[in-house]
Amino acid sequence: MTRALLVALSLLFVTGPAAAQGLRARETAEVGPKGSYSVGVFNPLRYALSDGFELQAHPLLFFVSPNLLARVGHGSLAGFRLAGEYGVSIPTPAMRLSQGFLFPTWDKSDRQVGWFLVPRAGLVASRAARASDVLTLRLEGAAGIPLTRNDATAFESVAPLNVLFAPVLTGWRARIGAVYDASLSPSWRLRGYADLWLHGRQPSLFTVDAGLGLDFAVGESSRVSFGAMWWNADEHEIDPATHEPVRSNLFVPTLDFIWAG
Amino acid sequence: MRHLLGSLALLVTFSACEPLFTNWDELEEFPILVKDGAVAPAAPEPLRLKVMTWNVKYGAGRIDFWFDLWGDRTEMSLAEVEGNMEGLYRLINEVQPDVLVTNEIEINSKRSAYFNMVKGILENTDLRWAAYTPVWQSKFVPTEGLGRVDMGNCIFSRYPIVKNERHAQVDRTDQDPATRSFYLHRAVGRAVVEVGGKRLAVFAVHTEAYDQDKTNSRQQKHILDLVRAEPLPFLLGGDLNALPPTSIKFDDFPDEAAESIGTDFEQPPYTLTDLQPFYDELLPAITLERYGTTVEQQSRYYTHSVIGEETIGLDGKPGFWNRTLDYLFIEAPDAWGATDVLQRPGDGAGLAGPDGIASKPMDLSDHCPTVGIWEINR
Repeated sequence: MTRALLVALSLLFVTGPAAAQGLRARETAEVGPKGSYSVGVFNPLRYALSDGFELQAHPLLFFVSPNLLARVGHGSLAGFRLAGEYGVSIPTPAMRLSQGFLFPTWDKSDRQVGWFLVPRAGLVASRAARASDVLTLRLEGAAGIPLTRNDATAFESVAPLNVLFAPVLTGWRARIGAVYDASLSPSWRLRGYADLWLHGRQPSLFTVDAGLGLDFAVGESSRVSFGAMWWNADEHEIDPATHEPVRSNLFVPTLDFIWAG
Repeated sequence: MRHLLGSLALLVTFSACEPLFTNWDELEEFPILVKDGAVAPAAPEPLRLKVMTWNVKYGAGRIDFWFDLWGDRTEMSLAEVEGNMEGLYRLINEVQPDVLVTNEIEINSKRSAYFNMVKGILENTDLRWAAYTPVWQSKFVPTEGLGRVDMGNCIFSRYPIVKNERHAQVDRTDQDPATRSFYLHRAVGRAVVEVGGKRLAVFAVHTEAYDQDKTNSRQQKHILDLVRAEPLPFLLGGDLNALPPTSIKFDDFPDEAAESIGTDFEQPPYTLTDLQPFYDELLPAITLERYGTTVEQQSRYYTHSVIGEETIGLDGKPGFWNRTLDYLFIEAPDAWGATDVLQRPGDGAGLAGPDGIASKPMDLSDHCPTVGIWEINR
């Protein structure tokens, strides 16, 4: 059984069921072409309204945390293709829905989870490397603009949660990241990535992540993506022997099916 | 951003390194913290130790938290915690105990601004060794935004602590698995204190408060089993969340918020017979004879009130101590010298100077300290 599985996987690796063109790198500065789209369970819905202009939203979150991002191609510079990302989200409904769990209920006072507007802007730069590998660099920032009084405080606990809510709970978040997306075969791509997240104090000012992922072609343009990710952050963990603070490490698998066309 | 969402979705089922919540083995040894430059004082002759037990309510003083149903606070500022801790230090320094048993002490919780209360007490009192054992340790409690919690019992001593053990107690069975995982896992802390050449055992206990399945009774039986097997002279101290067997007042307490009925924080009925074996087999700091037979007599030894004096209770009166939950027990042939419950300024005369304490315990915690002189005769 194991042998049969290995043979099957090997065949997929060499040839694969995907189109002859092979899988393309993702999360790059490429925008469009018109009519192209992709959506995953966790990856956002992305649709190109024209060549060089895409709209992106997270469908899972859209109705509890309205969000929209425009991706605009900005041409090329020094061998890099450039794209700008300009978005906004309103996370307050999701935060209020999670009162009693992630946030306090505050049913005996007028304390509240405030309304926020979170604008976000980023610059993505990609260049080809080797035959069909792509190096992508990313710089982005987001800020939480309070529209009403807010009493919710930073989680300071689990790194992905901390980073997700950093703009509203610490005021801001910035990201410097790099992805190297390599073609292994027409059906398989290997991605390595790393990010430095900067944010308001919770309790330190930075979080680091890095990961590896494999994308496997399914059909013409879709793919299954899986891998593992490491997070390193100050989450108030302490050494039990000395009670001195230590940074926390967190390893999580990543998995998604991305449908594209 | 897609990494973020993917990570969050998978975090609950697949995470590594620091766990989201902690479970412990039946018996585990824990580190001992020592104040810098600590030197063991000479052992008194005859061997007499001033001992005290105090549930310090995670340094919250009289701030009403959400689960008390009198307020809705979920966390404190660092300034609030530091202010409350100053009051605890002051009272401890007035009493100058040789051994202090604390319950609900936190070393790294979001609600108490991550203040390390064990280190705080070591640095601000004459206590030099600390044996902390956690009972609630979670990276993130997803209830009311509690976040990180690290709360436990701690035994402090002016004399060297040479062993610190955590004896796990049974968990509640009346909760769903998810709630149980993130909930407290009660334990008995056992420290071995070396005074001169003599070794003494100190047990720190804090049994369940909100169980509807008699977990508290089972935990008390476990404590009895532990002390029955103890070969060293021992002190047992802590909040047993149970009333003395002859208590006249055992229900309808004025600090039980009506809204608590039917919630996870409803006070279960007290079973008066629960503590009878402790009184039969051990020596209480406050005997049943001294506790008395009337509410008026017994109220002098009450140690707990959910609400402070600033809050008007269901009886229309400002909050004040209304039941006894905290105890000190030893075993014959050891004996008690002077003992007292420090309810108000002036209490503890002879134990905390000739005029007793100047501090006002009602403002410092929802429990007041019980103190006594442990005369070790073995």
